Amino acid sequence: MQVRLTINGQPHELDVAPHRSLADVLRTDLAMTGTKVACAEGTCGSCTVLLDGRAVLSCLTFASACDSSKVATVEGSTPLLERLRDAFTAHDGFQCGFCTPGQLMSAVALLQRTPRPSRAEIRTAMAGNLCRCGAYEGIEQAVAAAAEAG
Amino acid sequence: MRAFGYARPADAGEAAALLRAGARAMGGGTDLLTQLDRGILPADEVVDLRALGLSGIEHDGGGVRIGATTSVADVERDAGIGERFPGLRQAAGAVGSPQLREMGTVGGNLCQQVRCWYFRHPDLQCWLRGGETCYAQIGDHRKHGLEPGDCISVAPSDLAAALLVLDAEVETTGRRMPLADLYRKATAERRSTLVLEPGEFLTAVEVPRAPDASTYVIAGERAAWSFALVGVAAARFGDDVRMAAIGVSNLPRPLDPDDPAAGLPGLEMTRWKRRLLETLASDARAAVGR
Repeated sequence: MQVRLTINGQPHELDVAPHRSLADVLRTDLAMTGTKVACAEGTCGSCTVLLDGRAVLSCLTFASACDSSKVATVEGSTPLLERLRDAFTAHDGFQCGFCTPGQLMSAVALLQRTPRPSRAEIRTAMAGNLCRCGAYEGIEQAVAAAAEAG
Repeated sequence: MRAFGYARPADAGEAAALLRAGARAMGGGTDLLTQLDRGILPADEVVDLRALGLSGIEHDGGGVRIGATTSVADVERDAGIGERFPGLRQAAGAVGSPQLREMGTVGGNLCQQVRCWYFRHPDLQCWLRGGETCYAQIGDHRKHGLEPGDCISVAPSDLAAALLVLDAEVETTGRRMPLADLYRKATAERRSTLVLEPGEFLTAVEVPRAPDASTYVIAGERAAWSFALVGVAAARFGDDVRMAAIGVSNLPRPLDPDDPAAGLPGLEMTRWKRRLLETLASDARAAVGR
């Protein structure tokens, strides 16, 4: 199936088998390996990307269903994503870093919709991203700091 | 592992035609794709219903109409629902994780399969999947239902409980019925908890009028991203209180507000859920003010 996607502002035209996941196409066909796959069944959030502004799980999203959509991944560079990257570093928002791309994309979705979230709103919006290192406190602080710096 | 076709029709008639035997309808895909990846109720084609123009929330008069492919997140964020149907908003906010709420559709949430580790086991064919044995009843069923029957798995749809107490109706490609009639106990001849016929799918849910008060309370293993161990919805219209629960039966189940655990004896391993159900029912009843 022919699929046209705009990924981080760049147009792409791809020929993909209809059942392949967006995560697989990003990582395998486009070598955009920033998006991580851990559970591959919608539980962990590490494959989170933005699809037309919504934080979705790319492991459970068909690439072929995204025709004409805008995709944002951790490889992108926007002022908000850069601010979050700096804040995650400054506030120890990770240890091993495997879940970080997904954490960052959930945080982007939150701050795009709610630029000044409460701590409770941050915890709710980040609840779909698991961190096995347990860096949750740093993650919450980083998102709050990035919001304040915006 | 995935070896199925994918179609994204733009017309409801075409979608119905594509949904022949062996094809399955898809909303957000969050339940369906995990089933297919594990070989549970396999399909040779997936028919994506999201290009049919069935998304959107319309408030008219006292009621609300929600298109079947509206995302759960859009229900949660809708100002009118938050104001007039707070129990429905709470139920939408209790679904899965933020990402699953963005992806998951209202129709898919109402039609999702039971949560049971035997039903979802790739190597077992349990009674509900067409086999001979309800493995849960001879095995580990700590989180299963309280209602005796051929299958003791539990219905997981938070929205179903919240919509049942609002007297919601569902519209399908061929008919209109009370939401309660969408669900039916599976039988030996028909191993499904939904009444939908092949080719039939939900197109909208309608709530005729707003209650005077409504709520949805849930107990999960965590405060977030946890299927309900038990979830209880309540709505009050004047002096009339309606209640329904999930997590206690393999159908979303209406409850008697004066005796919520009636008909739900449980088994030795699940009896703890009765106390949880009674506690949540009492909390829900207090929240709607009767």
